Amino acid sequence: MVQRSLVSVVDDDESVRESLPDLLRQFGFAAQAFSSAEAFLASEFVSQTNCLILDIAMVGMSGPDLQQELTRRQQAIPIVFITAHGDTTVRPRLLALGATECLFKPFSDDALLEALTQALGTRSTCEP
Amino acid sequence: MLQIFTQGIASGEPYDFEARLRRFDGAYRWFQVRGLPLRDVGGAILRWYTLLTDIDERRRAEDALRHSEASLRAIVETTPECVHVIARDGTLLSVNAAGAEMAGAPSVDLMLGRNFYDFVTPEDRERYRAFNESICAGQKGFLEFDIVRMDGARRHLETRAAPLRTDDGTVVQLGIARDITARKQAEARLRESERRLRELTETIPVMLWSATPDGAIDYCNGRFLEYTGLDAEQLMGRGAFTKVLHPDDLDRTVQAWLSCIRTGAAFQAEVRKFHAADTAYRWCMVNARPLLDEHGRILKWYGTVVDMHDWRQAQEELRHTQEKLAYMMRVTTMGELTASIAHEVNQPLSGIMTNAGTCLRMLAADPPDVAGASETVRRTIRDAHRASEVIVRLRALFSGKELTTESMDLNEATLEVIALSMDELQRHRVMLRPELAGDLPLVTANRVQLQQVILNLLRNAADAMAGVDDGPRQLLIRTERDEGDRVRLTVQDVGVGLEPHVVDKVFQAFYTTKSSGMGIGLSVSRSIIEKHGGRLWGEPNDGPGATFAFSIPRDPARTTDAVAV
Repeated sequence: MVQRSLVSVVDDDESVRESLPDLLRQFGFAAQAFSSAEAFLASEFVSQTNCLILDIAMVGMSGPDLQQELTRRQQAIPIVFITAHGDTTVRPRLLALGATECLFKPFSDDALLEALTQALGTRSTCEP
Repeated sequence: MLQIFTQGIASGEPYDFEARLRRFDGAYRWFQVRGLPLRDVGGAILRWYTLLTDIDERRRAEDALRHSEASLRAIVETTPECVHVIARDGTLLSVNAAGAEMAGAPSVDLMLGRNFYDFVTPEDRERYRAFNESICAGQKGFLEFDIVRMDGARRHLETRAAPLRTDDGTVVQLGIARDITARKQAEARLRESERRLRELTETIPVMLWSATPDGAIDYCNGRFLEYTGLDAEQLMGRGAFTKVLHPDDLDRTVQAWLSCIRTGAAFQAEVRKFHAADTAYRWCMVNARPLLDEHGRILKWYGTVVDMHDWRQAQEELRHTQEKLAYMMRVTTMGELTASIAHEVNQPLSGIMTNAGTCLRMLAADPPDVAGASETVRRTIRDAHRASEVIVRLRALFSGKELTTESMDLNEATLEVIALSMDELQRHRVMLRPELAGDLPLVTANRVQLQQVILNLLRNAADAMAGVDDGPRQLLIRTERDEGDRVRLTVQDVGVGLEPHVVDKVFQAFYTTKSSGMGIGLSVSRSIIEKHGGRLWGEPNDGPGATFAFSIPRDPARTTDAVAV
């Protein structure tokens, strides 16, 4: 059996943590959800994560903070940012800092799949 | 007389003398008496021939002449004007005492024989020489010129002169000069004063005019003429002013002016006045005041006209700008609110879409995962409810509808907020010290809204202390009874503090001192507290940090008066 890619979700919104992993599994990924950046960093999944779906605005450490921290730790994990703030100016900034994509909530499952495919590149094992 | 006569007889010499002889009528008259001896061959006097000539008339004429010359001399010597005789080459032949004084000479003798040209200033000297020579050539003349006195002072003289023929046949100048320095200076001062006044009235960037007591214009300065493009004659006289007024301003202006002429009250009017340069009417301010005599009668009206068109337009533009700004503020407020609402609604919408997408995929699988699909549908419904709740909350907040209030314990509500934010406060290394009054009465209020306000105050305080690294980040939250049957909640931090000039601004929407945050927290908080009939305020501490507090009545319904205020 092929090892499925692990997609980790970090979002302080509970409904996201509930719904996204199910969709990710439908896509064929393994999924883990965390309520904060700190919780993710403290977990054993950092090094196993193939792609990170990361909320921008969180209490405490924000999404971009985590991105910086991972860069500092030289953990090159592709990141797909998600945000409920409609500020479109953040997207180019985040992409310039190395993010794969930045999706504005609400986003469609197809848009998410496309972003993930791009993030994981040819290593994708996403077809269900 | 007899002696001359006797000597003559004795010596035999001829004699000649004048003497008074008595006439037949007893009157003495002057005679010339001449005697010649007649001698024989031997030289002996044979007899005397005596010729008596009546010279009385001549003697009288001579006396009269002598007397007349003395009077003339007295006149010349006492006249305050300089009387002088100057030769063709400029030599001063004669001068009176006044002349010496005019030239600053201690005596007449010191002047005589000097060349008068030396007294004349170098710049006038050639002119004077020509003048003198023309007089000596037989012309009468008049000349103004300057001299330098012997004491160095400069004086301005005018002289009238006529040719005078002397005994030896030469012609000299007889001149009468007068010192007109004072008059010249007065004239110069007057001219200078007039010039200055004219300069002032012609260069001042204001239109000036004057009018007779009955209101007829009798003077307009150049600026006035230039502005209106009319000449002085067109603007003079009664009612001429109306020519340059906008027809719509005519009636009221004339009425006001006539009333001022009657009463002597100062005149002021804003009128549109014809401006020649752009053939348009421009707004002007016209002012006039009467000059009164000692009896209070009007002697003259003096007035100004100031073009205030640009100023007035700037005012209008400013007003428009302010209106635009106010509109922009409202639009911005709407925009920011929309963003805030969008965030609140996007969260559940996002859940709905994700769940719906998952559901479809589960159902499309072979075999379909019906149990999983049911779960996602249940979550979809829950998220839809959540979105709907957001809308309900927003409507309650912004619609101005009646609040749903309950009797509640402010201490309890505060403790709940503290419990909710404890994690965050600890993360911010904030040391929270609650001082909750034990005897706090219940208040009638909307619990959730009051908690929003408390949460906002706590978060602001924590944010304000984010940069405090040299001491504990102390945060005091206190509840207490307030006067007037009210309760008060105070939040005090040791953070960046509050500049006096921003005390009011922090309550305005979208004013923020933070790098993140929209700046609507305090604005919304204040509107919530005001809906409760209360007051929310902030002030800098004596030491570091700021204090924010609200005070609300125990029961807003019973203190509607306070709310109205």
